[in-house]
Amino acid sequence: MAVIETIDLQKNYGRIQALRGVSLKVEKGEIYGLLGQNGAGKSTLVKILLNIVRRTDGEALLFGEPLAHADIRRRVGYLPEDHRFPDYHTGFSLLDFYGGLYGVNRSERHKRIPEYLEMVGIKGRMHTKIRTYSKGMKQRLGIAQAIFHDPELIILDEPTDGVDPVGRREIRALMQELKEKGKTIFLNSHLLGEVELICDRVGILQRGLKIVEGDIATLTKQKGRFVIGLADGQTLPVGELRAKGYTVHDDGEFYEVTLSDGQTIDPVLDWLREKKLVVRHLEEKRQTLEDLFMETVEAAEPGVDAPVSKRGNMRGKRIDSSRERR
Amino acid sequence: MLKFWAILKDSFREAVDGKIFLVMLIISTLLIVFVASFSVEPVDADEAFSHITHQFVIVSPDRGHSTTGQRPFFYLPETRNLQKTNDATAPQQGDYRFVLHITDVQVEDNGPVSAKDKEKDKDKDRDSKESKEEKAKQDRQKSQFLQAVAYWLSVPKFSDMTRMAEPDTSSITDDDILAFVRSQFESYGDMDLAKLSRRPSTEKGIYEFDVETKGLKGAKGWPHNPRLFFGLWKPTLPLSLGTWMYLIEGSLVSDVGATIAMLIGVVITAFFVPNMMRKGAIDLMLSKPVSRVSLLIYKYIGGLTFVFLTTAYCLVGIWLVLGMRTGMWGTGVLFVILTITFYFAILYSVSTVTAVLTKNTIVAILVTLGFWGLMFVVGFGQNRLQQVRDDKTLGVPKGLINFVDFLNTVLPRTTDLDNLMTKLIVDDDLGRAEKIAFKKDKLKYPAWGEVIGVSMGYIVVLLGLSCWRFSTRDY
Repeated sequence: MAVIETIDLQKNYGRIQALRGVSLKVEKGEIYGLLGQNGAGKSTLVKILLNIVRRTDGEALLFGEPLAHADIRRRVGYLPEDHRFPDYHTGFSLLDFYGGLYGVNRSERHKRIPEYLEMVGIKGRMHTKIRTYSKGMKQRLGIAQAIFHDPELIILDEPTDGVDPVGRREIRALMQELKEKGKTIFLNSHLLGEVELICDRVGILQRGLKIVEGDIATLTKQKGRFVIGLADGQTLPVGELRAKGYTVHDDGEFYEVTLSDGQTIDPVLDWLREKKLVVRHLEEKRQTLEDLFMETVEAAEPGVDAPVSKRGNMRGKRIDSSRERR
Repeated sequence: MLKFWAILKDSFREAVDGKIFLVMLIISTLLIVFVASFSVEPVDADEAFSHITHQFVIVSPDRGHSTTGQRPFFYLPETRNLQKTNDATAPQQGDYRFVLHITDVQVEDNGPVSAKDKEKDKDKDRDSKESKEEKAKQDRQKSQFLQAVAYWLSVPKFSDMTRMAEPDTSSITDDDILAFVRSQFESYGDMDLAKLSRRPSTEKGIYEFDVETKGLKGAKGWPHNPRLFFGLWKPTLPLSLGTWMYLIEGSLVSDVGATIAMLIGVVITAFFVPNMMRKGAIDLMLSKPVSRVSLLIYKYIGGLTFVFLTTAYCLVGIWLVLGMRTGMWGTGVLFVILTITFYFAILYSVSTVTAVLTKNTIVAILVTLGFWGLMFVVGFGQNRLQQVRDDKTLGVPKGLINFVDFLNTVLPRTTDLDNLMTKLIVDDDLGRAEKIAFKKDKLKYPAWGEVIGVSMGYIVVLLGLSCWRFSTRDY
């Protein structure tokens, strides 16, 4: 049973189609990253999962159950983007309040609060008002409140927003730790580098459609592109290799060899051995997630959603595009 | 239940965070200290009976039950030969025997003339027997004391009251006169008389009664002088203890204090729902395992709890210090806490529905205050029309009466609630005549069930609308 499952999920805000039939599954224990430009529909999808926004059509399930039951949210922790905690609370009292809403009893809450605030690094300020916290501190508090009741699914919307590099690393480590404990993490983020570092799988939304989905390694792998490095003082006879039908790019120290369809790298390596050239570096080239993302969305206009009529025409194109990529 | 307490605590924390709450607590504490500085001292028997009997000239019709039309008559009551007949130390606990001496005054067209002056003119009328009888009849009709008795017995129309019509004295009996005197003692002194009999009087225009009183069980009806600021200021202003209590509990606390408390309550609690619905805050709340309806209802109850606790702090404090100072421990003022909270519940349901629809605190405050004002105007109009509705001579348009009646029927009964709130205090504090003097006679009060039922229906409708809108919108 999937922890999150959406089937042809749709959401309209008046004439605006925020989601146009998104289907995805997130399995237990994985870290899933949802990427997309502003207005792509990421937050809408998350809000539908938490019943903050009502779906227009399609289906969405958490732990195999419909979203209407408030109790299902007991198993979910959530950090929204642009959250605003009631600033009359202290860090301690906020967790005490939210813990109460999740049904954590008083003694347990008071035992856990210092532990969790220590975990996110703000224990020293737990009795001061939230209005005095920096953005980074509020973000850390947000993470603490999302995991405080020991949920099975943690949904984080831009969790490292406003957090300094050291803090980001700590948060990544925390997410990894949670994953090791069997928690499922659903992550919305613009920071592709971080997503690439911690996510098992990602999906890319563009204008309310899921255009790419897969595991990071597969998505970033560039088939047929190899980087070759030779021993000191040796030079690759580029012209000869090109004459054999390979595309070669000389980068000075390394050579990038691109194979055509049906070709493998082995004949190239055999040929190099015959030439008495020593290969000291060989790797199949990968692209970064950012490259993938930019490549995927570059054709689209950035920013806001388009009206239905326009979008209706684009829908077919995008689906074709995603199919091509898969 | 855990969730409910969590939201309740959060609402209270939100209210406490504002400085207004602190100001409210300080004001309440100052009020309690001020009331604690107040004490009373019973006046001695001479002064007390003089004070009580002098009020007899103020007469309420319908055997003292009427809410309106109370008016003075020109006669002079005095107590003579006052004797204490037991050993009680406190003056109000004493048994007393005395003569109530009433000097009548007859009113001629050119003003009041005393009975003694009138006697001097008798000679002029001795010539004719017929004119003598006619004169006696006229004298009887012009007797202010007998007019007072007749007025006490009558049930006048509003128009008769306003033009001070002269009541007919022709059918007054001695029993009526005794009943009137007994009633005035009961009304102004909270006294049941052990004995009351009329003395035969030789002098015309003089009425004398032998009176025996029993010591009061409480001190409510006995006149007391106030002592303010812990006895630093001792004005001579003898009023019954019940009146003093009413002035503090009814006027100072229930009228002025409750209005201020509710006004502040409206302002403070108006922030609760809009703050919860702010972008970034609402996501956090809705992501919790609490249904939207529960969330809103809990917030609503949180607002009520805030008002309940602050009102309870103030009123229980005042009740305690007044009880310790005066020995009067009537519990009506404690029920006022619930009544104020219920009154506020009506206003807060308006604030809540406005907040849910507009997400704007200022609009919620303004709409609530506007609604409150409308309720006051409707209630005030209904109360006024109540007095004149059956008096066709005044020519009040029936359409207007029906319209105000309709508004009063369909809208929450805030004015009725206000009246009932006062009743709780009045029942504890005042004697019958004092109740009438303060226009708080029980005949005027609406039924609790009706007032609560209609108002509760209104709250349910408004909260239902709020919950529906809160549950169906996207955030």
